[in-house]
Amino acid sequence: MPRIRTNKKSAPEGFAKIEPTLREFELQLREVEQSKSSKLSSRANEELWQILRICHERSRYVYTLFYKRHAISKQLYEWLLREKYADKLLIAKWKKQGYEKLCCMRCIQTSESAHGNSCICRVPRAQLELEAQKAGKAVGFQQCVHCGCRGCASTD
Amino acid sequence: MGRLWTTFTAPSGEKYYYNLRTKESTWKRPESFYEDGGNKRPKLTREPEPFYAIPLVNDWFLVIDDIGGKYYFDSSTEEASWTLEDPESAELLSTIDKNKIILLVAIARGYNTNVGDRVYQEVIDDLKALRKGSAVEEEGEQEGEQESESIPSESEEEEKRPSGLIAGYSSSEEEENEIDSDVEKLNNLGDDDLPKENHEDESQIRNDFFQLLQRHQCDPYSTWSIQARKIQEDPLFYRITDDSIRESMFEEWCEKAINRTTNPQDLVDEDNLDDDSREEEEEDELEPLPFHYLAHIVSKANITPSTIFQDIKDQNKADFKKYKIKQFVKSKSQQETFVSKLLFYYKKFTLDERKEIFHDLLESHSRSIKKNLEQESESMRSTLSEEAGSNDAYAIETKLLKMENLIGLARDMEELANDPKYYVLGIKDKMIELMHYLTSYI
Repeated sequence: MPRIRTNKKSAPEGFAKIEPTLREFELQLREVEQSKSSKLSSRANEELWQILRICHERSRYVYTLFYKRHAISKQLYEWLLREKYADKLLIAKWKKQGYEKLCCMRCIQTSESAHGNSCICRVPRAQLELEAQKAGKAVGFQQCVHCGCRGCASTD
Repeated sequence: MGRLWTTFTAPSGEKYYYNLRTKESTWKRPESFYEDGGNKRPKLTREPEPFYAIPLVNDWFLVIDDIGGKYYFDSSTEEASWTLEDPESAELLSTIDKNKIILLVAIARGYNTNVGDRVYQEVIDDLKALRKGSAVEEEGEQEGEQESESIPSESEEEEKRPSGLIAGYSSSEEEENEIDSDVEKLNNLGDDDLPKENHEDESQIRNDFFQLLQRHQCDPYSTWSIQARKIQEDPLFYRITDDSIRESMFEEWCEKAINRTTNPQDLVDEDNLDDDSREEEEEDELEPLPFHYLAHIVSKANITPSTIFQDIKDQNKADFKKYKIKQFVKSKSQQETFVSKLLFYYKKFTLDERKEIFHDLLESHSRSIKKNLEQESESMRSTLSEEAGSNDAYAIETKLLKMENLIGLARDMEELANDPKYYVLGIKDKMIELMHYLTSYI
């Protein structure tokens, strides 16, 4: 069991406006937690995918609030990151060229993959289709095994 | 065409039928419940209604109805016909831009654009101009007839259209071909004109969409996936077919709605946000002992000689929840045994005596503590030298947990970690005592 935080700082101004949305996300996460998982081993990861998707969406939400809509103050943004409402490492990647739509950190960690390359969801769809066409097959890729991403190249 | 008869059940259980109009009741089942006899459901098909009427010459009109059919109407005799029996009108019709007529047919059939009225007006204006022109021509020389001969196919086509479209594509091969080409044109028209029209419509659609968002009181501080649920019932929502475009429009609207003075905000370096946050992460790895929080609650509790576990639990219900005691110590009986033992020390001994008990306990485990310390002496020294503010409860706890971590309490000293004597002091006192004890070794 991790330690319980007793030194939580109260939220900076402006939190009330975004609270309902954050609560909605939390509700969605709860729903996934309480849903019954499939007994098939091939679908064992799908719940995790759901969770990663919602977390991604929430991070994206915080990211757009601060960088795109300029709707929240810097203090509130930093507070949100510290309270882990958003994945700060993922957001740091989104600011870099070529990673604007990155799905999760694991998909670019080459050291964690079997052949030392990044996940197939990082390959642009157009390239996949081209290669499949050359091989005379349909594109086989549907969802990546890490987070269930269907493709997160910046050109997609 | 309404329902005439209704069914009721008599008190005897038998069914009887009641006529709503004549107010008669009967035991006999009527032949039909509906006014018009046979059909149970009203007809779904309806008569097409005129959508556009384009005036030609000699009181003739070209009428386009709302399913895209085309026929001609003579307003002097009030007769409609599939063919245009007025040669002058036919000639006039053959000279105007056919694509515009096709566009009008498409609009009448439901092609979504808002240039419709403009095109209609254009066609009427064109016809007016042509009428004047032909009047002049007729005065001079009869060129009009030749002209109409030079493009006979078009006028023929015009005449054949209605029969084709209405009669569900008639059998003649010639006609079919022509109709096919027309249908093709209709389809192409959609493709060709869309981009251009999109440019014209974009601002219109955008405005509509913004109004839609406004009308449904969408929250500019929320996210698209949630707000989209509010407005997706509205037909306007489907004016834009691509969800990514909808989303970008929503973002735009949000930005406007929030209407911040857009002074460029400085970037935040997420990788190393504050020193705090990194420290916090380190602290996250510190794991308190299973009985840590339970002991903390007891040390804060108001203890009288008659206090038992249940009293502690009742008084500190909120704390039990806050510190997730259930998840640290799962079984309730285990919680109870531990607290009861601890209460014994709190009831019988004063603070100083308890400090001594604590000290003795550490002394009895001194060998394993020393052994673990040898590996970690450096980091222990730095931990001990750290200042913990005397009022910052969280910092004090952090220091205690660090020390416990370094002497390996959770790893290989389970006996000590589960001994109630180890918990006879509150967090602050325990931290101070443990620090004094450890400094004597280093």
